[in-house]
Amino acid sequence: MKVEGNRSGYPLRKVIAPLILSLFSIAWYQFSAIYLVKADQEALSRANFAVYVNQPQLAGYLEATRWICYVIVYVGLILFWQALVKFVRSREVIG
Amino acid sequence: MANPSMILQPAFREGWIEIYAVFALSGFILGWVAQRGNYCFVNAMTSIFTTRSLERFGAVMILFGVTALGTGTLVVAGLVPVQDQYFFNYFAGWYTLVGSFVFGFGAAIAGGCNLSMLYRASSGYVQNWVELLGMMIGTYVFAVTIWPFQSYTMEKGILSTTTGGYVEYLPYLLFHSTSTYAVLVTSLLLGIPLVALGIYLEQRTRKGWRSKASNVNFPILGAGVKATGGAQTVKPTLITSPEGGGIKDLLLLRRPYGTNLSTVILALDMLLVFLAGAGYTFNYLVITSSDGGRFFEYALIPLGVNLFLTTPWFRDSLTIVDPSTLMVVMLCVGAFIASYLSGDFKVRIPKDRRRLVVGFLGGILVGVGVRMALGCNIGLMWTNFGQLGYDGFIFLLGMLSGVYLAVKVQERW
Repeated sequence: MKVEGNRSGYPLRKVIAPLILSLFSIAWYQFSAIYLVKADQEALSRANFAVYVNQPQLAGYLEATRWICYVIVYVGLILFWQALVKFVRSREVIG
Repeated sequence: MANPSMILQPAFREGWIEIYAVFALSGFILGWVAQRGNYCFVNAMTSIFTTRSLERFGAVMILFGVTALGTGTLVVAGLVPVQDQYFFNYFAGWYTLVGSFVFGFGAAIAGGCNLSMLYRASSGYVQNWVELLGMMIGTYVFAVTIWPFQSYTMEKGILSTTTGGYVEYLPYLLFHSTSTYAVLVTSLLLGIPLVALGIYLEQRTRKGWRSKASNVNFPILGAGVKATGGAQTVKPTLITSPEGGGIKDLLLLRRPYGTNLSTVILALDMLLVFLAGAGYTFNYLVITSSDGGRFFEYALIPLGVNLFLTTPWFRDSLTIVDPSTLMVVMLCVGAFIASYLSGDFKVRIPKDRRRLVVGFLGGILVGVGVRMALGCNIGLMWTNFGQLGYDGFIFLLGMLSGVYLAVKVQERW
C-alpha cells in the first residue's frame, strides 16, 4: 500500500475526518428522530399546517435518513480504517 | 376557456422513502460533481469582469439551455404531467431583482454562490463556513425585517405578480395554452439559443487562449504546463480542453472534471429530480431555504427556541422537513467524500483574517438576498429555466449586476 505524506507522516486530519463523517451521520439521524418529530407534533398541536409535515412523509424521511446513516457510517469506517493503516505505517517509517 | 390545472399529478406512484432517497442521491451527485468540477456560478460571472473569460459563463448558459430542453422533452413525451412543470413557479416582482442583486454582491465578496459555498465548506474552506453562518443570520434578519413588508406587496400586487404557477409559465404566456405543442415550441425557443450562446462563448474564450498560447514563449503556470528538458512549453490541447485526459483519471479522481462534463451531469441530475419528485414535492434542485433558514431553525430547536412558532417567514413558509433537507445534507457528504478521496480535503484558514469578516458579512447579504428573491442561483435561477418561466432571466440580470458591483468595489480596496 502506498503511504502518502512527508517528513511529518500521514496527516492526522485524514484519519479523523471520516470518523467525524460517521458521527455526523448518526447525530443527524438522532436529531431527526428526536427533535424533528417533536417539532412536527408541536406544529400539529398549534394547528400550524404551513410547517406541519404529514405522518407518511415524516416516516419516509426518517426511514430514508436511517438507511443513509447506515451507508455513511460504513463508508466512514472503511475510510477511517484505510487512513489509520496508512497513518500507522507512516509512523513506523519515521520512527 | 378553463384555466390550466393547479393540482399536482405524480409521474410515478412511489412512497415517500423513495422520494427522499432519490433527492438524497441527487444531492450527493450535485456535491460530488460540483466539487470535482469546481462549479461556481459566481466565479463564472466574476471571470467575465476580471479575466474577460466567458468559458464558465458559457457553460452556465449551456446548463440552463439543456435543462429547459430536458424538462420540456419529458413533459412533451408524457413522462411528467405539465402541471408539475409550472406548479412551483414562484411569484415575480421587485424583490426578485433586488434580492438577486444583493445576493450577487454578497456572494461575490464572500467568495461563493450557494452551491460553491456548500461544497467548499465541505472541503475544509473556513471562509465558507463563516459565509454559511452569515447566511443563516441573514435569513433571520430577512425574516424579521423584510418579509412582513415583502409579503404585503406580494399580496397586494405592488410591483409583483399575485400568483405563480401557470401565470408565469412561458408556454401559457406565449400561446395561452399548456398543450404539448406550446411546451415543445417554448422549450426549443428557450433551450436552443441558450445552448448555442453557451457554445459560442466557450469557443470564443478558448480561441483567445489558443492565440495567446501560440504567442507565448515564456513559462505559464497552471494546467497544460509540461516540462520538456530544462524549459517549459505549453500544451494548448490541455489548456483548451479540460475534458482531455483519460476516463480512468477522472474515475480515480486524479484530475478534476471538465466544465462541460460537469454541466451535462448536473443537467441530468436536475432531470432525475424533475421526474422522481413530480406530483409530490418541489421537483427541482433546491438548496436555498434549507441551508439558510431550516438549518438555523434546527440549530436553535435543541435550545428550546422554535422559530416555526414565533417568527415571521419561519412560521408560514418553511415546513419542518422536506426532500431538499436531505438533498443539502447529502450535497455536503458528496462534496466531502469527493474532496477527501481526491486528496483536496484540508482545513484552510485564510492568512488574511479580514477575509473571514468579509465572508461573514457577504454571507449575511447572501441570506437576505436569496430570501428576498425567493430562491438562489440554483433553486430559482437554474430551476426556473427548467420550469420554462421568466424569473430566471430577472435573477440572472440582478445577479450579474451585483457581481459587477462587487468586482468594482474589490478593485478599489
